[in-house]
Amino acid sequence: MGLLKWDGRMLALPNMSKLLATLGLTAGLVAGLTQGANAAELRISIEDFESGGALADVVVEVLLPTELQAVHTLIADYSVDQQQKEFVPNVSVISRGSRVNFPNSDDILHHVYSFSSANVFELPLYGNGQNIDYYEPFEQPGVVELGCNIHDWMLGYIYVAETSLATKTDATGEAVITGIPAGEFQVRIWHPRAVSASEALPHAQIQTLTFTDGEPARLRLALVLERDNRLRRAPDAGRTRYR
Amino acid sequence: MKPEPALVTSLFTFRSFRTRLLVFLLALLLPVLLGIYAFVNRENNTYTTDTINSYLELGADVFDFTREEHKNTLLTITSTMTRDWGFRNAFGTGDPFTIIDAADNILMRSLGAADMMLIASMDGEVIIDTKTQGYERLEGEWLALMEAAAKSDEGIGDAVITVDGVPYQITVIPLFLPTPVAWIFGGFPLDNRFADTVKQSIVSDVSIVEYHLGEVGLENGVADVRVIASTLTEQDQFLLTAQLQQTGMTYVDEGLNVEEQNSSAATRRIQLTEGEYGTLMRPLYGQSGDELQIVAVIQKSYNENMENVQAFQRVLLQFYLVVLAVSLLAVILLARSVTRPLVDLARRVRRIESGDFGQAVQVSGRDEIGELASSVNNMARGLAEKEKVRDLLGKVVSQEIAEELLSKTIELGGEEKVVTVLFADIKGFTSLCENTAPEAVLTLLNSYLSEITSVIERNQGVVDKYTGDSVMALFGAPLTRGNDAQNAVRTALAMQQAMVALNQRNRAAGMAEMEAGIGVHTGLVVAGNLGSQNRLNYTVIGDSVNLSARLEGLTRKYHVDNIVSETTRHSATNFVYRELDLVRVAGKREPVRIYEAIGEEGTVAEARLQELATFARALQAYRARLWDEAQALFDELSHALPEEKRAVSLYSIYLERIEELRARRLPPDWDAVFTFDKK
Repeated sequence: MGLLKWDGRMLALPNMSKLLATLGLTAGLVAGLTQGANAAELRISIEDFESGGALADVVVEVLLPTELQAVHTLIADYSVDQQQKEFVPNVSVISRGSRVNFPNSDDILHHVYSFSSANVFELPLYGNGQNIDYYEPFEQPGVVELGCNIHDWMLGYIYVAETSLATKTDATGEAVITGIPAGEFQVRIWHPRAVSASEALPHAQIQTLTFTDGEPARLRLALVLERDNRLRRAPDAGRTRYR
Repeated sequence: MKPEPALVTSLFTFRSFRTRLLVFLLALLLPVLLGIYAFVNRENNTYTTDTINSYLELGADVFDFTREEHKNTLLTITSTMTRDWGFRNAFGTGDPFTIIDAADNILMRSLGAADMMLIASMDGEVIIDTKTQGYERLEGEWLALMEAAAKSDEGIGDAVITVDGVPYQITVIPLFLPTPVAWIFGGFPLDNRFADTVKQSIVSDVSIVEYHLGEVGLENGVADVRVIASTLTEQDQFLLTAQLQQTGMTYVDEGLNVEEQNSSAATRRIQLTEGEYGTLMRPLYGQSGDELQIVAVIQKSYNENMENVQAFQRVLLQFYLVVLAVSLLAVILLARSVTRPLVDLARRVRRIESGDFGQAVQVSGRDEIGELASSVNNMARGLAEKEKVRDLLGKVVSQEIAEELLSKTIELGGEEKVVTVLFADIKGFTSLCENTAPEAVLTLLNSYLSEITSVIERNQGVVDKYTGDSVMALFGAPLTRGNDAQNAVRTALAMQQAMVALNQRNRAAGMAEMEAGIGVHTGLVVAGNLGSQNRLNYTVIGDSVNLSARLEGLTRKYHVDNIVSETTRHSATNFVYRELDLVRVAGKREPVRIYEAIGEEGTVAEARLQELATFARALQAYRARLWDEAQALFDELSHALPEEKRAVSLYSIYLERIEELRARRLPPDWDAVFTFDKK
């Protein structure tokens, strides 16, 4: 049922595979041409298939085999702020074992929760200045969807990567991952609204790339996006005062 | 059968004016009243049908609206549920038993607004189902509903789906956690409770009816019909089922889609226990041609609405009765106002017919009847006057002349006819008058004239005029009777007898005795109205009249009571006559043979007849100039008379003549005619 879209357009699976295969071939070719010596580099450029514009907040993770994962671990503390009843940043990329802090910059209370299997947790109603010192640990890799029990439209994502070899595209749709060991690895591309056939992780697709030292690998991709099906923000949600 | 003409005539022949008026009034009024009644009835029926139709269409709209409201309530409930932290937590556990308890909890809190709940994952895997229908994955209508919701902007959908054979209004909404993670289906049954709710708003009966169109059904247009829910009684549900089964689904046959069905929904009439119900259908489930279809049936009784109409009809009928009663009364009064004076007039006319001209009818008003009444009064007055005139005329002139005058247009002129004229006179009246008081004379004269007149009239004579003591009577005018001369002679004889009786009475009363002279002659006269335009007289004129008067006069000369001319004697043969003489009266050249009527044949005494025979011989001798013989015979006759009459009698006259003729020298052509020079 992964092909089901909000807008009802059912993309034919063969066409999709063909598209993805074409893209993958290009990426592979590019990667092969950019093999380096010590650490390989992946240069990413993602655009919206429909509009052709740069696509931000696309997470790209190089999936290393288990024996290589321990070397590429970066445990750190992060912060997802709540500003103007939105999660900022909207998409965060962390590696497993890291902790995230959820401060409240609004002058009303928020109730942060997640029912995602990667980490079910909640921070019951708290206001500005509270829970500043609380850090939620994220041990399971996967996508954690953040919600607010008060504001249904508030939606944030924490992408918990297996290693530190993960990043997200910026406003220009570009990103770079460095320090990739040479070799042929799978690369996962994830976006909250990306159409995908993946059973393992929704909205993600896998590419296999070959990384060599010296020459950076390139990943150019146009993603087909679902319609944004998040709840609409209430008309008066932007107000700061309760009157 | 053709009615007899007599019957038809009798049908339209009325004994009274009132009946006629009543029949005509009813003939006019009843069709009008019936026409109005029929018109009002038709308008009322149209109005009722329109009212019922608008009720039903409104009812169907309210039904849809109520369903919509319920649907929104359901959405609100399920939507709120997805925001419920407890439910979110329960769902977050992923434990179906916890989730189903949470769902039941919500249903309980909905106070019956929601009856069932089904939760499926975003790709259609059933997580919980409070109705435990046994689905593992969504299928059929459920799947279709989910897909329809997924396509919609809001991610919301609704449909009617049967659950355990009962149509449910189902809504679906995604569960956000915070991204959509599941579909939450909520539903309430379109059952009796729902039908009751709708009925409270629309005051019409609501039924939810299921059609099973099998293969056979589609071919024959006959459906297997089942009432799922209804506000009707069981009896009525049974009737509804039976009739829907017979008639089939109207809109299915038309092959329209749902929208078209709604717009073209035709009201039809279905007979239930308490009368006819206007019936309107709204499709709830299934498309045209589907095997299973469910419709909402909205029904409204015509009877309820007809109650007002019937009340109006009752009022109308009462009004009709009043109108009829007032009209009948008015007609009776009108008829009476016409017939009463008419009856009075009829009675009056009958009285006039019988000769009673008095008592004028009193009718007020200037209308036709008033005119008629015054005409009748005038007519009566006219008749009374005419009768008076006739009476008076009968007194002034004879009855028969009066009739003659009244019966014909009176004009001057007359006709020639043979008439017997009789003159009667009192001999020596002048000397009688000299010795008697005038009053006594008048009394005497009146008694004489009355006597004479009654004798004349008794013998069919007509008194022409009275001139002093003389009477002129006509026989044969104005009416010819055939035996007029005979009547005249008989009158003359009767007069003489009457005079005897009269004289006896007069003698007893000490009054003077009278002697009448009578002359009778028959001849051609002119009879007619004589006089001026303004005053005229029915009479006869001519020589015969004069001769008759002369003959009357001669009675004095011959000392006889009557003298009858030869013409009369020939016309009246059955009498005994005595020839008196042959005379030439003054102014007449032709001699006339004159007679004395003695009596009717067979009534004259033998001695008298002997005397007459002797007289005849004497007259013969006289005419033959045998003076001695004639004288001897006349002497003999004269001596037979009483002493006092010998000097003045018929015989003495002839004796005197013989004396005189002996002395004369007679010419050879002596004709024995005696000439009277004086009138």
